[in-house]
Amino acid sequence: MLFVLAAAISVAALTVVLISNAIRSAERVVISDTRKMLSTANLELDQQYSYRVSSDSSWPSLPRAAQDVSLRAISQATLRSYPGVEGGYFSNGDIAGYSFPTHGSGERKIDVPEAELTDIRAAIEGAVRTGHGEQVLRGSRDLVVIEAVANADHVAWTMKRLSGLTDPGERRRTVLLVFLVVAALISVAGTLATVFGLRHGLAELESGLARLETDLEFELTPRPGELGRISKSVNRVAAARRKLEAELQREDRLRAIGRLAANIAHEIRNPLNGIRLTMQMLKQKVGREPVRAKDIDLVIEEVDRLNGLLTELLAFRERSTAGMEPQPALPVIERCVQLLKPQADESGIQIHVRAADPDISAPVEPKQLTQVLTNLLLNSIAAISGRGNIDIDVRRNGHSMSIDIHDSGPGVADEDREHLFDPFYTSRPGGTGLGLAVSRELVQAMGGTLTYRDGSPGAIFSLTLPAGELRP
Amino acid sequence: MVQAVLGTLVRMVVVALMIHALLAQAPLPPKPPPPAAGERSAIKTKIAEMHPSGKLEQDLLALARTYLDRSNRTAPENPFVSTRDLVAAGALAHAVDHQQHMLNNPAPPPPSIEEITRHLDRVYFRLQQADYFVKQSVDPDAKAIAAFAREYYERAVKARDRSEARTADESAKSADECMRALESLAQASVAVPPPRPPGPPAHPSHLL
Repeated sequence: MLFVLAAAISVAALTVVLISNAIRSAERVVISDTRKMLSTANLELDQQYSYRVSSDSSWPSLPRAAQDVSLRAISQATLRSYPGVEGGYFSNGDIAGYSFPTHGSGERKIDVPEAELTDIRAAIEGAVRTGHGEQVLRGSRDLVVIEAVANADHVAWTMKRLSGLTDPGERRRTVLLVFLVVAALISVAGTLATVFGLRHGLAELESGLARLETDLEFELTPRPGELGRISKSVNRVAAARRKLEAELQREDRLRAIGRLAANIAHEIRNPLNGIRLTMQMLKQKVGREPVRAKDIDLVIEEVDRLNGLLTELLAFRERSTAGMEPQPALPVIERCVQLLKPQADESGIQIHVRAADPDISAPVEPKQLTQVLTNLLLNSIAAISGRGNIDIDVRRNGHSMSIDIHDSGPGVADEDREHLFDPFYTSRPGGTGLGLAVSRELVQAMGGTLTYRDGSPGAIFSLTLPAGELRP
Repeated sequence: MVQAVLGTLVRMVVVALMIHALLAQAPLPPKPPPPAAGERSAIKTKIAEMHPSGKLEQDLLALARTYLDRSNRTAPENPFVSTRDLVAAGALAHAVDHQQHMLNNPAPPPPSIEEITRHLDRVYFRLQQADYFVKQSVDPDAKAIAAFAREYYERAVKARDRSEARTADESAKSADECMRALESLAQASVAVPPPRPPGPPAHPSHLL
């Protein structure tokens, strides 16, 4: 920013200096031309004076007023050819024969200008001393050039005002000051505006990009200039990503449906095969030997198995969030533990519940939360296969509540972690592979997440739900 | 005692100042010399002896007579104006005289055409002053005199263009004399300022 400011001020100062030099050069030329013109006029005045005086022997005895009339006639006739030039003579110790024939007023101007009288006399004095005198007066509104030439007993002098040429020093200073101030202000304002605009724009872009990471529907606000082009590009990329994500989701969904359908078919075919074989065997027995209840029980078991499978499958549909109200989570957890305690005790597994905030509550559907916790605890009990511990840790994390279930089992193998929540994926013999998949669906339906991480030793399933206070 | 001493000192200072003032008093400017009686009578004689045949010259001579008479009348009470009128009368008489020179034979050889041309340039410049003199002058005939001067100038230029040197020379001189008369009448219109009062000079004494 400082560099930009310094550069702007330097350019402004350089411009002022160049303009000032140009003005000064122009002034020098104008003043030089004016001096030449006045010198020529003085020469003519001098010649006419000499001719007039030398041709009249009575001239010295003429009264001063009479001489003044004659000299004024000469200066009028002479200076008529020099626009804007006024002048006259100096003889017998006084200014005489002054006239300004081209004065714009239209009236005869015969009074020596009082304002410049001192300077006229100074020029005359210079002419008396050296033969030539000159004065350049730099006023606030115009510039006055006075030239005088001495010859024997008289001095011819002329003067011209140059309108519009003021004191160059003063004007230069004023112009310089004004220009520098304006340039500096413009530079500072422009620089600050650019910097703030960039900062604001970049901050907006940064926050927009951060939001885009989680909200694909978000679009950056259109902006002018370069940042606007960047915003447009980002929005185009985001739109392309949205389209791609939608396609991927669609493909994922189709793939999942296909896999699900295959798994369902497989899971249904096995019990159906068992039922078919049992029924064929019963068919062969009918009439030849007695049908045993044990054979029919096999069919019933397979039918129950099919029913259980369908029940779990139906859980995918139960994404209803009706009845979700903030309620304490700890009682739900303790009820699940109570239900599974006999099974845990039978295996020699201790279940511990730790709650840093016993009153913590969350908007949950109690049945669904119970099902999730039951699934997770049953998984842990099955994984431990022997004596061990299950620690349930309930705590608040900002605006969310987390429930960590840490078991002392072997944990999940690396190759299984990727498919841990896939439907029908199981590493346990006899498992349906639907427990974790269903649990995650239910948690997501309640606005939360279900993740796995390595417990070293054991596995940790972490359930996070948005925290909510109980309504009074 | 002290008062007496102080009084004496004051008187001495006053006397010293008076002496200084008397010594420093500038000399009075010279009065314009009264017209010489000889000059006046010479002009009178010249006018009386002239009998021009041209209308323009007759008019000029009539004006010269008028100014001579006025000069005679005003001489006692206003010598400056009287002198200017006398100069004007003399100049007009000379203008007529130059026209009569053209009739004289033999006459001295005229100047060269180049010299006449230079003279005409000066006359032309003098004619440029005619308007100012006419405005400055209070004389009712000033405008007519300016017209006479222009007439003689035109005659001179035409004669010069025809290489009639003598006519050109005498007409240029007549025009010059008319302008001299006009200038004198203009000078007569200004009041002669009173002598400068005693005191230090108005301007630095080293100037001229």
